[in-house]
Amino acid sequence: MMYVVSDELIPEAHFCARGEYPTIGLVVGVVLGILLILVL
Amino acid sequence: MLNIIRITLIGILAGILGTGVGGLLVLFVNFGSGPGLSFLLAASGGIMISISLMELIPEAVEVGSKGWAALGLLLGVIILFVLDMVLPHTHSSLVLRGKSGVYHGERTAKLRSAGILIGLGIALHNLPEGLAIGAAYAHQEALGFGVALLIALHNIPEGMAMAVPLRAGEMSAANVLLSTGLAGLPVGLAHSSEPGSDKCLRRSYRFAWGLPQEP
Repeated sequence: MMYVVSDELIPEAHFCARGEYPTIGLVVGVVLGILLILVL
Repeated sequence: MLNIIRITLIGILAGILGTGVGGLLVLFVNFGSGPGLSFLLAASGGIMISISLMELIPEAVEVGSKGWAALGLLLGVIILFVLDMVLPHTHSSLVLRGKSGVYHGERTAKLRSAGILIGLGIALHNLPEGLAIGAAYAHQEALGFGVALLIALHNIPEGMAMAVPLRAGEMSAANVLLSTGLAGLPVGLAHSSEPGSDKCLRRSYRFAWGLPQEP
């Protein structure tokens, strides 16, 4: 999964829009994932 | 026998509903093509990172040892690296040169394959969850139902993380739902293969909850 994330998802996110969008998306995803794991 | 079938069906339902609801939520999101898609793909990656670091790797260390977990991690990377080399697909840098749409089909295929690989990982991870449901049901009916419900809820973000690249890869809504549902199927299948003896039940329970096995 980490391989797919670093090799496919993140480069693809950078391809779709450069700048802050992929970074913000990644941070939001990590925070959302942690919150969901903790809450559920 | 009927009880096993009933609990297996509950396990299957919990698995399919959990990841399926995650996939369904993604279907309501309008992807667009630029910043919105970029944000969602990165968010999907972020969810996968938190699941890997907070759930999968700690679980692997608890069930086995740090050495086995590191070996498994390395093996996973090697398998995906080999698949990446063998399976034909295009990287973003090449796609950049084909903005006219020549490489569009290859790019969407790459996103779909990323979603399927994530789904395979989730499906494998779901096997012990099925054992947890079976073991909890064997202990107490209400506990089993509670564990099944918790596992269904817990699988929602996993379904979302899988569905985003599939949907971005232009997979149809029906196939996204089917794929996310299938990723949850092992929750039920793992339970159905569980032997009924007390010793096996205890072993399943300890394995599912990451406790060390009895000598």
